Amino acid sequence: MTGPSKTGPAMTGTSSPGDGIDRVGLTLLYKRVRNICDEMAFAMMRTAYSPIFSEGLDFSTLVLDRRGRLIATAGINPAMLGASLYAATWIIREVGPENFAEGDIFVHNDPYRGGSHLPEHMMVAPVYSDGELAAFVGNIAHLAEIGGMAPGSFAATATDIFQEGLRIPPTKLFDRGEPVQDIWRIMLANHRTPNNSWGDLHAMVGSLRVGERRVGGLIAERGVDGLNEAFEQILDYAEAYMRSEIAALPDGIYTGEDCMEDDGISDRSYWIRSRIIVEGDELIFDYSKSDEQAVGPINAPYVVTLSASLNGLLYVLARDVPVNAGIVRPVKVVAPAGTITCVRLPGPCVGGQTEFQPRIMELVLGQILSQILPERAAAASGNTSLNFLFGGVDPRNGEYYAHYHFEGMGWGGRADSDGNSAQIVPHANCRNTPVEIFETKWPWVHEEYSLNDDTGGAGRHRGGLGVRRVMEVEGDVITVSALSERMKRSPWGLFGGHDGSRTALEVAPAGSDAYETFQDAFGLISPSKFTNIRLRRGDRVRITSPSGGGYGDPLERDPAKVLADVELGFVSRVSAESVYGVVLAGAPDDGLAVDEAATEALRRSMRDGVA
Amino acid sequence: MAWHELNKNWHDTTVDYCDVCGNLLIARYWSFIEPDGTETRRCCDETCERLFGRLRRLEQSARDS
Amino acid sequence: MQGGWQVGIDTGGTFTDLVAVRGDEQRIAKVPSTPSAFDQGVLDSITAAGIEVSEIEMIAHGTTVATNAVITQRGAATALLTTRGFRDVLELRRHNRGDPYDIQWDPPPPLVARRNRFEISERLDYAGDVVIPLDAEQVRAAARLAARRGIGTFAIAFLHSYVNPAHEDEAAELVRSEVPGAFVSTSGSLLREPPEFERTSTAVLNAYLAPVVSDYLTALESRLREAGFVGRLYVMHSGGGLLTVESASRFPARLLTSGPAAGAKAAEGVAASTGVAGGVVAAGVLASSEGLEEVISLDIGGTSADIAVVQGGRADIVHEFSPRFGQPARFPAIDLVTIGAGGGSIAWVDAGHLPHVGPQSAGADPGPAAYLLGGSDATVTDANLVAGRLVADAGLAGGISLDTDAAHRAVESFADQLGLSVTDAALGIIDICNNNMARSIRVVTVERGLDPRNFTLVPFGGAGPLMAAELADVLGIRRIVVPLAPGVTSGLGCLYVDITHDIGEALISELTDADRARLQEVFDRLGATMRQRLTDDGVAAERQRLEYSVDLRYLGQVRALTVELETGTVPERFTEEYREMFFEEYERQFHSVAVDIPVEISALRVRGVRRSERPHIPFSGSTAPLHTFERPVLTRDGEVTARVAERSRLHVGSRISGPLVLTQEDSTTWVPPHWEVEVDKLGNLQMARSE
Repeated sequence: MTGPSKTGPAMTGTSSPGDGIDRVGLTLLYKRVRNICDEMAFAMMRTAYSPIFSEGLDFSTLVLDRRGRLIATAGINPAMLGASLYAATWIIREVGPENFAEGDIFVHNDPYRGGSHLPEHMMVAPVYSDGELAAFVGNIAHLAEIGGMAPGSFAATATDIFQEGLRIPPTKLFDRGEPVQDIWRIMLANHRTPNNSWGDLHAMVGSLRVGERRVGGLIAERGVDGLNEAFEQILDYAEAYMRSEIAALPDGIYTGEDCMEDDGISDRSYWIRSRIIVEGDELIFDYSKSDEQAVGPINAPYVVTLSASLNGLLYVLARDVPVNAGIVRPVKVVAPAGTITCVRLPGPCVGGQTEFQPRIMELVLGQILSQILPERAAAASGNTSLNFLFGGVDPRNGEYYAHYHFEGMGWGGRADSDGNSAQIVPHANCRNTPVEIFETKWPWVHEEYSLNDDTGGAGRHRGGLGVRRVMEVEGDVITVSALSERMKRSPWGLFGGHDGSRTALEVAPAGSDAYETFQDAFGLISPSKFTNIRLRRGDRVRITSPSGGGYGDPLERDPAKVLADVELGFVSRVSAESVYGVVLAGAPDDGLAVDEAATEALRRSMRDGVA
Repeated sequence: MAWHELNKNWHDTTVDYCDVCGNLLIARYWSFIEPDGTETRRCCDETCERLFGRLRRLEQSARDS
Repeated sequence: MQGGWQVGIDTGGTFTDLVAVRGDEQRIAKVPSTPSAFDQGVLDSITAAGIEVSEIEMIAHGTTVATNAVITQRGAATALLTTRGFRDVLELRRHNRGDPYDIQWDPPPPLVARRNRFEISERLDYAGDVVIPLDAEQVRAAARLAARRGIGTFAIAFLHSYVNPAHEDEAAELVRSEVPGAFVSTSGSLLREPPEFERTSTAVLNAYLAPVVSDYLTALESRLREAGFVGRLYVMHSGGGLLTVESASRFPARLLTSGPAAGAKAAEGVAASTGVAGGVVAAGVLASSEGLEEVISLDIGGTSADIAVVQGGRADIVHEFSPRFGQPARFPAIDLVTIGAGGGSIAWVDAGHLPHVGPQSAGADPGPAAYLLGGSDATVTDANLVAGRLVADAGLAGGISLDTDAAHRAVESFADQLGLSVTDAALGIIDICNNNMARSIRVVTVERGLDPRNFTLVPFGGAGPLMAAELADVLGIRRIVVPLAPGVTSGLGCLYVDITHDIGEALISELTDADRARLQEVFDRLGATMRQRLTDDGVAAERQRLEYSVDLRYLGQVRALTVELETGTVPERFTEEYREMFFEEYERQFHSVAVDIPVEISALRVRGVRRSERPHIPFSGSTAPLHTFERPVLTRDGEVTARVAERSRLHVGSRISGPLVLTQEDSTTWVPPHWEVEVDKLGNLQMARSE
């Protein structure tokens, strides 16, 4: 009943005795390395202190060759692809492989050096065999709290990196197996929840130790040189795979543009202008015509733009390619420093990873690649991580806590099916934090966590529904912040499909049911990006995530599907008539059915009305 | 048309970017002079120099057509 | 009842297999399954084995009934009661996709339609304290409305019920009184752990399957009783243990991979016994004579093939099984892959003129064309018959005979669609089927970094030994062990399992603050409950074994480690001792340990076990002279002349080279030209590639 998962056709597709033994051996080695990454990930998940690790799975684990090139990564969070490809590589190059020693661990979170944004910490450790450097293992994980101007460290109104938290350039965290205590003390003193940071950093360290052991096993079998030669072949294979996929695309220049609706500091929007140049077996993503970098934290570091571009590509092509340093060889990303696509120090960029990245990925995927592969086209998804963060003193134990939270949303209707409801933002694949874990960890009580009815972008194939979450403050005071998008511009429909619905962040004071937006309630510049709003016991917050855009004319939707949507409550009876032109007769539980004649007449008049 | 060391002080924590693609420059960089000008560009390596030429030619042909 | 029959019966999609053992006596039987009423096949198998029902001491039963209900979506119409505001938990899932790079991925449709998910006013907080009392009238109204919609099956999943199940229990009583005869499955009674989605999904699957499973088991038991059965009936669960009928009816979601688990347990048994006794004789053929630690278990039946990996003598266990990603049942399960490839798999040609085999199957009815039961599609069995690897007049289980002409006609009509010769078409069907299976075997080996070439293939099921050698060639496997009675090995697997129960209780306390008396009190109480449960299962006190464990974690961690304890007596210095054991286990799993962080207890657990004694399967090799005859067999290298022999006539230790067809009542083994075969002391066929 568990279907076979997909494997790379050229690597494992067919083989018979005596044929392609090397390829089989290579496949096995690659899978083993990826399996090591999975084990490292498992160790991290099992030993974490933050639900964002154990439940959200917001991390990646890496194995790199002795020159620091990525060989394999656990396929957990595609959003970290760019950082996985470069962050460790760059630490190793900046420090110099000769300056590592057995037992060392380096850490950094510098978005100007390959990190995605400050909360994501990267660790890297060398693996030796009899004193000879053989490989590296690494991981990247989002720490829930790293200081800065807002608890939860998603400072949506930051105007420089220094407000976003503690920045650490490549730094030795362990020296020959011993903790560098001064560095630990500096880091922990600057985080609001040091106990949590201590535990999560140790989960990362433990994951590296698991990786060291396992890679050590590989070295014992193959020797340092043998292993690195095989690694080289794995990289070559990935490169060749990508080249053959790109070569199959028609040469040409494809363009598209989209924008970030505001930067939290002013009302202006920032445009991303993209062109993809396909030439033979190589491909260039050129963003040089994009707007200059924003004042607020919606800028992307280089690796974020790279992640989005590559993921847009990988979601369509080369689905089974081994994800490693080989795949970037035929691809170039041009993102000049000082534009919104490559932030220049000291520009803020915490939202680049969560808001800019999905936007640019969907731009690549939905607007540009759909020109080449229309059968893969889909209307827009909700396309925001909808970060909602909070911190305060937990009345249950008197300790300071902080958390950042993201939300699922509706995805867009597709060429042959409806968009799915309540899925995570497309550039990532994190899990939600379940309500039971949420309430055990933090002083909030949920009133509702459900699908947001009657909001999916109408279309022949309907957009998926967003999510509505209502929760009440259980502590005396709680400080909340948000960093989101899709409050001014709706997720777009495609080919006559209607737009999806927008994000909403609302608040009701204790004892009242009168919700208003945070923007109105607190006089904010941006409805979607704000910091440090203080709520009190009994206040309620309502978070509504966007729904996906529709695909095709809603008047062409099969009336039976509209009926089913009404029965399930996804579409109201009113919308069935006014938007889909479907007239229903009877009552629920009493012969509810499509009135065929009335529907046909209504649809005809609606079409004429449009014409 | 040559490699140069970045030679940063140990207490200098700033970073340098490739003039062509925006990627990070580490430890050393490749420099070249624009074919149709005199400006010197700092970039990742020779592939970026070639990329620069390619993008220039594309713009040229877009202008011509 | 001393000295009665121990009977293992596995019901698959196509055949029902039986193995019975009593002292030195042994019986086997293989009969067609009866999907319209699976219990008929079970009774048929007992009749076919020639056993007096009244002389049966114990039946251990693997069944496909739960799997079948999920695959065919024929579970019960089910209603779900949730906390107000949370009816969509089932549909919100965890928001992630089954494959990060597959953005076209679709979640499975929820098993309970949204209109049948009812919100009830009630609420507990994270500590299990009541915030909003249960609104009994809403429960009754929901139950009535559901009943009016023809629903008699209910799942109840309230928030934080794993800490305090009182509201769920109360609601269950209300539903039962409102809808007499309703089946009610509460999440807290199935799983005492967060989070809400996994627990709700488990409760829903359990409810969805309950009527189907319980009706089946009730019917089976009563028919057995009518026939004079006075022994005990157990059912195999997905994790490879046994449940009583009562337990299985309450926890039907535990049966999702009941049948395949029986097969994997059988492979464990083959691995264990062959390792000590079987390998020695075969050393002449095999490169080495060490035990079979690493085994790929391959059970090819009529409809599907089940594949599991046995390492270190044990099949891997996962703590959650999802029929589809996003539909978890959180119960232990043997890690298996099942694909639609078997003897009955149908060969077909797609719109683009490409040939395929399966996953559709002709099953037992109408069966392959050669069965002459009305099937006309070419199947894998028909292809093997045409290729000469199955012998028409050898006779098949259940009195089925094979008709070569019918098989030929079916393969010919498939061949015509492709413009192939019948020969090429028959070999093509076999090749495609082998490649499908090879791909799945790679999923459980290569995808996990294991090299299939280091494994021994243990093929069984009716079609396993027929396909194994050429499949091994595709995978580079060089060693095969075919069990004594491959066609009924899954039935044998049912006899290889232990009765196990698990219970636990959340108890959160820093180790240094924990009260020894309280820990002891919990262990004593859990232990007493467990003894009662085992006694209820008919396990005599002296055979009951209790295993105690404690869940520990660093203060602040989300997940805990389960640390096995030697006894259920909490030692005086438990703070230090448990701490040390935690550090050891942590170091073992994660290669790092910090001794300066406080350690916290999160739960106490007790497992109750009755160990099975692996039945001794008597075997003595033949001493009579071996009779063979010759026949042509098709291979990729052209037609070869193969010897055909009855397997039961082979002598222990004698070595024969392929090409060879070995027939036996329940299966046929094909030994291709480049393979050698030898019978070991246990009666297994040990096959090796000749270099």
